[in-house]
Amino acid sequence: MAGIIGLLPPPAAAAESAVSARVAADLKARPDLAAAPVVWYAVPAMSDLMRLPGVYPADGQFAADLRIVAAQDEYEPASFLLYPLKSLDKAELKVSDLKGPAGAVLSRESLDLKVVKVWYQNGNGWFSYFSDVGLKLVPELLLNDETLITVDTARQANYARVNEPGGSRQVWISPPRRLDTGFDAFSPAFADARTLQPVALPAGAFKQFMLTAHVARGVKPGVYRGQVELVAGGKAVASIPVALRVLPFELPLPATRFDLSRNFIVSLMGAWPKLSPDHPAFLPTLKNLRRHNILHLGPNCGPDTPKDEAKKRVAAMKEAGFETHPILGGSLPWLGEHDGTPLTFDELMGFKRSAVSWKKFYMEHFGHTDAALGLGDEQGASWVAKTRPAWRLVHEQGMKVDLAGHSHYFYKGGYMLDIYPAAGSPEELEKPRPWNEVGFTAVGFYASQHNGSENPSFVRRQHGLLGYLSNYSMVDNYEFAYGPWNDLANDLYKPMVLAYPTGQGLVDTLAWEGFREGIDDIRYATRLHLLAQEAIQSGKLDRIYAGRKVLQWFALMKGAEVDLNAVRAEMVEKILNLMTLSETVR
Amino acid sequence: MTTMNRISLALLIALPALSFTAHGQDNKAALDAARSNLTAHTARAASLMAGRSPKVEEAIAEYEAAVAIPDAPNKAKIAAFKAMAEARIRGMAGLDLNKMDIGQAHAILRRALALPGLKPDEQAEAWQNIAKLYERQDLTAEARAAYDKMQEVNPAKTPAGPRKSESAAEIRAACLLTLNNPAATPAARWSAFKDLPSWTTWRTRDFAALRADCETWLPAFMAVDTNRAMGLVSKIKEVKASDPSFVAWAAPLALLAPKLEGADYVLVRNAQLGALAALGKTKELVQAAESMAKDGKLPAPVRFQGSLTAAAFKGGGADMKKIVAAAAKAFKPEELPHKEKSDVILEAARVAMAGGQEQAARGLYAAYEAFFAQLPRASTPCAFMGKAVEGGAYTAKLDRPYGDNLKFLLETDAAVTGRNIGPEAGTEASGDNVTDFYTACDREGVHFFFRAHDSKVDEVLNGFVTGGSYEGYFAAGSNQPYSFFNIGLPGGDFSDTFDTMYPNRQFRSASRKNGLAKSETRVVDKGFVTHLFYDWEAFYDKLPANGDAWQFENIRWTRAGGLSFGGSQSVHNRSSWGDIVFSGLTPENLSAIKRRLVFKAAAKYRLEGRPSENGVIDFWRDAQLGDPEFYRTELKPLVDTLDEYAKKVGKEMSVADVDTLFANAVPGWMEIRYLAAERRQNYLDRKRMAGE
Repeated sequence: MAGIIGLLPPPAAAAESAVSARVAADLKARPDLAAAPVVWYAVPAMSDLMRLPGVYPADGQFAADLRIVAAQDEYEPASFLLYPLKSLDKAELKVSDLKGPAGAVLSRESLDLKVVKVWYQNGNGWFSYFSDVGLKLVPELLLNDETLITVDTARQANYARVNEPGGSRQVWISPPRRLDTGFDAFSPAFADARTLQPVALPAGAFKQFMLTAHVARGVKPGVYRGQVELVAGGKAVASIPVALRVLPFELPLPATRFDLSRNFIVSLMGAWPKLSPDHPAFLPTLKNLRRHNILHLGPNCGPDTPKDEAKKRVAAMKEAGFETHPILGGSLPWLGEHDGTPLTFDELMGFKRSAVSWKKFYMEHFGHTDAALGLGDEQGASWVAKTRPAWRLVHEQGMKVDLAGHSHYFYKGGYMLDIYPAAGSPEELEKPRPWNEVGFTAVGFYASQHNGSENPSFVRRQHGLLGYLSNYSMVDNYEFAYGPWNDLANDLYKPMVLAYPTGQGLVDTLAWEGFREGIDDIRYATRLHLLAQEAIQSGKLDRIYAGRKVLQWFALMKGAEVDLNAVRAEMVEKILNLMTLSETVR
Repeated sequence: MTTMNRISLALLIALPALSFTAHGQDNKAALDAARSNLTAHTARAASLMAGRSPKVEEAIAEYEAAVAIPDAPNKAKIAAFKAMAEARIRGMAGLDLNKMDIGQAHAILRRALALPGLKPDEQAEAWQNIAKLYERQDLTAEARAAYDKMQEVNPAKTPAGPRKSESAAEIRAACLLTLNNPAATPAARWSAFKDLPSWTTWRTRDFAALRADCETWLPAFMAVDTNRAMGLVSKIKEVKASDPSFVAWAAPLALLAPKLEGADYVLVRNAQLGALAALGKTKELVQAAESMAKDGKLPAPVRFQGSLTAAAFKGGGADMKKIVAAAAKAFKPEELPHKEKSDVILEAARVAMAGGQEQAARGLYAAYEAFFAQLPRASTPCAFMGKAVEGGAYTAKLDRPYGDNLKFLLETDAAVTGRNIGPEAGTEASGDNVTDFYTACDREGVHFFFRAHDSKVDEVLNGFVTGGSYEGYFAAGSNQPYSFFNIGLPGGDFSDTFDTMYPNRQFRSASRKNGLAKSETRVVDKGFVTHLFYDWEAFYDKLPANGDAWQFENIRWTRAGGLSFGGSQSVHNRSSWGDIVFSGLTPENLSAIKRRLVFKAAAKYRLEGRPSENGVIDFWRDAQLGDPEFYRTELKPLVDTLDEYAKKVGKEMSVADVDTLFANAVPGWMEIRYLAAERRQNYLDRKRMAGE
């Protein structure tokens, strides 16, 4: 296909010159790399900076080790940029095993290396979830095969590679909205490679990579070392040292900040894939969601679902490892009016029948009724008032009720509503406060912002410590959209995509990694709070003070402004300190 | 139909029976009077029960009056008791279910059993009413018992029985029984065919199953009447592009139906093209398109579309502009009004897109876009002034209609060459369609002054009509986060709570909360003036130069819609904003800006050493809470440097001093918290990596 070059153009001459001058200055500090065809910069994996080909990494560390600090049962990323001093067509990046203490080895299978694809998103890319008519280059996709998507800067267009029996073809996937006729991303012919494929490295253009380590439960604590080897033309051209510190503790599931006995719910609206359980992408998608810290999802079926289908869905939910307390996603039928017209006897009987059938369904598949049923969306206060008898029927069956919307719900339903995604920002302390004072409602934020920003640091903060520090008890933002791949396709909102669907599962993104890190921040904070609580209850003054200092530190933390990478490191430091004080460090 | 409406209808049906139960002329008058009386009461009752706030007790009183009429027949009274019971139940709406005393309704229904002279069928009717209410309560045993009573008195009357099976398999089996029964009437067989669960594709999404059933049964029906294929039209609408195989199969059948005409006919024709394109069946597509071009049943623009589509697919990468022109030659200009013409060109472009004909799609889309006025990007100067608040000339307007609503569609040839999309796009009748503004900068920051003209100021102030609001966006360049603002009129309530990036080493938000964004609104004789201000402090590391464009948009939500500076196609639609372009930023003026920033940054920095401010420098020095070792080795060298610079801040700073401090100290002073955090993280990471 003429005109599709597959590579981004080198930066403009002046900018390129400035960048190369800075790289040359960096090289002076490492004369051993003077003849290298490519150099690297270690950069924070989670950053607000857009890593574009022509942008020097102001926060990068030249030729530095990739350092990863991870607890057990955690995925933790590192990132680096390659800067080729001469073009390398098919460069291979190979991750070694990491060697740890006393002969321990962390297999390369635990390390996932992906290239960050810079492609066209709409003009709001990186900043908001709204649609736009323009396009701009944004780093987003984490690919094994960078040629799955090609970018034509002359035409300002993204192309998807679809493999067909007669060969592959390129499909234009970024047409203007009115021209968009849809792209079937779930086609088996559209899928990423299983492992990282050789990449093209044009001279003078930075290219970002993400290296994500998975530290399973029970991995021996200590420092593990290895490298990422870069091979081009059959020769090793660079060796990037990797150091992974495995911490001597596991991360717990998240709990709320204000009550450590309460589970912190983690979900995203729309996240259950709308696929047949038999589709090859179905289970990989669920497992990907769980790996990214979605905890409460599924089974997205109920009493009206054919039994075989329901069994498959429930089995998949359990196999993927989702929590079953509570179960979200059930719903009551829509009965009655959208206003405050009182519910009639027959409508209530309809709700009762539905609630009873849901109870039966949940008892059959899960053995309990710790599940929420939704009814309505963004309703008025008078609707809430008139719906209370329906909610009571759900409660009578031992289940919970779920409704997203605005603060006025509290006036009429503060004593009844169990699951409440609140329209607003996770920074709003006042949103969850009254609900927490009543004390049973799981409150999350949505809408400010909805998903859609590609910025991993933004997504991490919104879904992580910002809401946690504001005393929210849930993440359930709107939404986890399964495409479309065209950022111009919608008319008001941009596609609220955190990970992109393919025929074999999800393609991860920077933002999706940000989401996982956000929840991991809460898991670290939970661990730290648990230790602080234990210390405070120890009866030993030094430990009591240490525990209280942790609480004071959290109390002074400004969730919207604080450097989250530093906070993570500090949480680790404080956890280790408290463990030392309690003599539990192994 | 609501329950109450059903009951009212039942009453009316029951009433004519009165005339047939009358005996003799003498009784007729009494019966007529009874009938009239009962009708009046029940009609009043029904009226009282209508709407969302029924007057239940009054309605029941009317029903009571109705059942008390001596000459009224029992059948009507039974219906009245039923309606009365329903009114009683309706009166419980809003209560918790367990508080609804349905026994009251049962008591009313049972009064029907005590009516004198009940015939068996009337008794049965009364028992059926009771049974049905039990069913609504899910009291199956009680319902069964009542039905038994019903059948005792009238064995011919059948209970409603359990609900109809909703099992798809059972329904299908029943349908197939009829379809396979040679003795079944054509009507029954057609009914069974239409009842096949495979038609419920809105639930199953299984169009292949529907197609399989249709392929089995539909040909026989169509052999008698090709209009039987009309049922596929709704399915073609429903499936849209999700199953092109189904559409490609169904459309030719539907097109055989003589009754298919008008918009649906066009829709099916287009759907067929889209489906064939998606399936890559170019040959069939061209045939279908050529057939469209000749189809007299289609309006001219759609025939033009057929011709265009056929040519586009045959032409491959040919010049679409020429193809469009050539295809149009077969039509008179008046046959192809601009709106219809642009619509079908777009449709042809979409078919080309679906068929993977990118070049053709792009060419046709370009031809489509040529019908629209291409507004130049809005731009207004932002000159440096000594004191921006002392006044400037209102040179810019919010005059571009908001929205991607095709209002710019050109209807005339003159329009193609450039139509004046000016203030007339607003609605003068609303009285608030004129807004002018200017922007300027000074050493403090960027100022916007908006003058919202409003001919109904007093009405706005007194709350009779809305004053509307401003919604806008401001970004320090094309790839920078943007600030949002919403300012209410007339009060000037200023909201900016929409974060597009959280503060970090490279960015600080300009917000009301941190004082870096401010707004004030005042009422004047003919409207409202608003001042909006952004402090340079938020942008100290990206100060503009002359000619630099920063993005800006303001939409005034008037009483008749949105009018904007840039012509926003939707909210937050960044590419349709305008620019403010800086000028007057001489070295002296820039130095004045930097001088103010040096003072502000130094003041901000000094707070970081104070315990009363929980300053970051003080924190790390604190032996109990901080980490003096970290402070000594990592932070102190930076602090010492910044402290030295801070000593040079004073009223007498030269321009060179300002430049030096601005370049070397201001970033450190401004970002000391982030710099400390970065150092702390690196310090801890190194600590983690030490040893095994």
